[in-house]
Amino acid sequence: MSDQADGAPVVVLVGNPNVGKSTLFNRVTGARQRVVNAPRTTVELATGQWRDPLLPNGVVTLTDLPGAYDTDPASPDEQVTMDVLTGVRGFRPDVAVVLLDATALGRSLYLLAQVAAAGVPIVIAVTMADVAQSRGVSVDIARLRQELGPHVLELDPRTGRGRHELAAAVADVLADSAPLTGKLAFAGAAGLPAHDDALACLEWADTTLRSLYGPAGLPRASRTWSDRADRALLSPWVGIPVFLAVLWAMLQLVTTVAAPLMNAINRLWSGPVDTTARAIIPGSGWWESAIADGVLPGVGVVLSFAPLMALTFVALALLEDSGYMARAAVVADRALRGIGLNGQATLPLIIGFGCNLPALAALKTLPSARQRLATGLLIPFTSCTARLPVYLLLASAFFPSNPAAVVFLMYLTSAAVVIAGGLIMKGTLLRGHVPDATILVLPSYQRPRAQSLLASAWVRTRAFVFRAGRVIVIALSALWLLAAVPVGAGQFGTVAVEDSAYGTVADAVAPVFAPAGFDDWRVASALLSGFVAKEVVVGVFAQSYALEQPADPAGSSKLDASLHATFAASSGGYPKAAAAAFLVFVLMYTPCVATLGEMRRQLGWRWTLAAVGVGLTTAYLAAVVVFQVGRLL
Amino acid sequence: MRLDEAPLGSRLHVTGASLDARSARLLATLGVAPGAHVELVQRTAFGGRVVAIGADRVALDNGTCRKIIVDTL
Repeated sequence: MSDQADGAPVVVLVGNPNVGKSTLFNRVTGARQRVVNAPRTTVELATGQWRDPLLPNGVVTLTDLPGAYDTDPASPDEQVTMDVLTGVRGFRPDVAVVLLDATALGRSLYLLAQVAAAGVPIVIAVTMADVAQSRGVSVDIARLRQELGPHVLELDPRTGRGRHELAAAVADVLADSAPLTGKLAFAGAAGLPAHDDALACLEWADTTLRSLYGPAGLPRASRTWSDRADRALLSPWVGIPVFLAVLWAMLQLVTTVAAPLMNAINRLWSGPVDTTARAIIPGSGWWESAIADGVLPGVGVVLSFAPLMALTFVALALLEDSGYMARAAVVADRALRGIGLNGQATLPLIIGFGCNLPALAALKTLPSARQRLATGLLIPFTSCTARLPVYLLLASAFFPSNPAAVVFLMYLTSAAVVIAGGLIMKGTLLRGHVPDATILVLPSYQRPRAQSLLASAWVRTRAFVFRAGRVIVIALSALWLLAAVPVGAGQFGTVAVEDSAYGTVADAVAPVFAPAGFDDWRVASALLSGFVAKEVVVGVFAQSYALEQPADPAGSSKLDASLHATFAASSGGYPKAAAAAFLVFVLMYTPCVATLGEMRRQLGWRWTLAAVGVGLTTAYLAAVVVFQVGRLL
Repeated sequence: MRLDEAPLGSRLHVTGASLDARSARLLATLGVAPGAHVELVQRTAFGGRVVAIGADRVALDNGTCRKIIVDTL
């Protein structure tokens, strides 16, 4: 189903973060939506069809613009919002629905002034009126209409109350090309402030606020249970343990909870689906192998990751919609400010130690595009659990007296690389994007709504399956092709790995690793397969020695002996140093193809290829240093 | 006095702030600018504070609180 209605008017949702924009968007568009990046940016825009009998022809195209407090051009998110409103991006919306947060009318009016000054016809929807009321601040809609014009209404995005009135108001404004009345008329008159005249817009917001609430401005708010909860959740004694518990729960979710679901899909795919496919495909030619061994496993990888992504998206939406995410940012802020990152970056980075793929999914919780990019580039350096079997295999084979210490050291190295990467980016990519101050708005705690959570998770999981999935299937099919093409002896599709183009590539690549001590085609082949998934590295090692894959990677003496012989030969007698170098390389080199597919979806090809290049270079240099220093010890 | 020195629960009049331009602009957008009235409602981990502007709540780190000058009302 298309998510854009051909020729239908374009309506955009504008408002501060946490005002309920996305909740409203999910409620009125349902599954008729898609998430895309704004051109040439990493800023996500959700677009969908809003159907309501009160709308002209029953449908408009609705776009959810990034949450913004301001039109500060230094922020890519806010820049995208303003570019859309001022028509810089090639189209101009027919109507902007500006959501005013009743708990924060001052800052909401400031943004409203900037949107109005951009000259877009406006409908104003006041949200969070119940929360403001509970804090002793009431909003008089009739008074607001006197001040701002007739198209002001109250809306509850969580329940959908007021959405039909909103549709009627949008239809009214679409029918009337001169909708700016009341105080908002200032935007249409000559000599009035431009949208980027912050001071004039602030003054306008302040004057409007005082005319609503009297010369003293906003009344004093009473304490609520949100304040009482914050007393605990922002304190060091309760807040930090709760935050650590949330991180632990997220890590469990992406590992222990997701694993049985992923395994079930894998079993289904390698069992009944594989058997059925082979039975259906006629003959036993290369095309059978191409479909059954090339395309189908790729689709299987994508589908096996889908429940993991869905679980992650639900959990993240839960944390965001409940209001806890902002508190997590406050508690973790100190830990990450040193490397230029926002406190909210803790969550994706910690999830990365479970699996890099959902960690990229968690980037959406970060407030700015630059922070999302910087954190996204660091995620591949977090050591996911798929790398653990490789650590265990090598650690028990080469450092049998204390393999646990070696594994622990690998995780410490991963953390150190993330910190070093953050420090480097603080002086480069993030330069000028790390404000001196931490200023975070704390939304009231709210009970998340199932419909909104599920709609958001469904749309994002679907985007992963179809957009990141395409890259994954193509990459895996290309690898199959390499393994199917014989070089010299053998037949297409049935050739032994060492006689295939894949084996030849591994053999050709291997000498590059001589300075790191692991110049061997089997090691290079294992690394190449790690690009598909780190989980298969141990299996490929076993396969290349014609051994069964060990059930316990730390307990196979035959494989240990084979690895010893290989690393001893390739390193000129320094197997431990070569093994340590190999471990460091596995930790830092390119993440798996599924992660790269999602990375491309979120950050684009340019940054994804840059991340691969930096990862490979850093991993190679680190491995060479470890080997060269290690053999001197 | 500095914001971090103000007593919890007090109503405050913001008299000055020595912040970088971007932070000052964001704070002004949120209603914490010279001339504004805020209320100190919470102390956070690592010495930060939460201020109330009407029904809105804004968390500030310790360094920022030290740069905002207030009077009690």
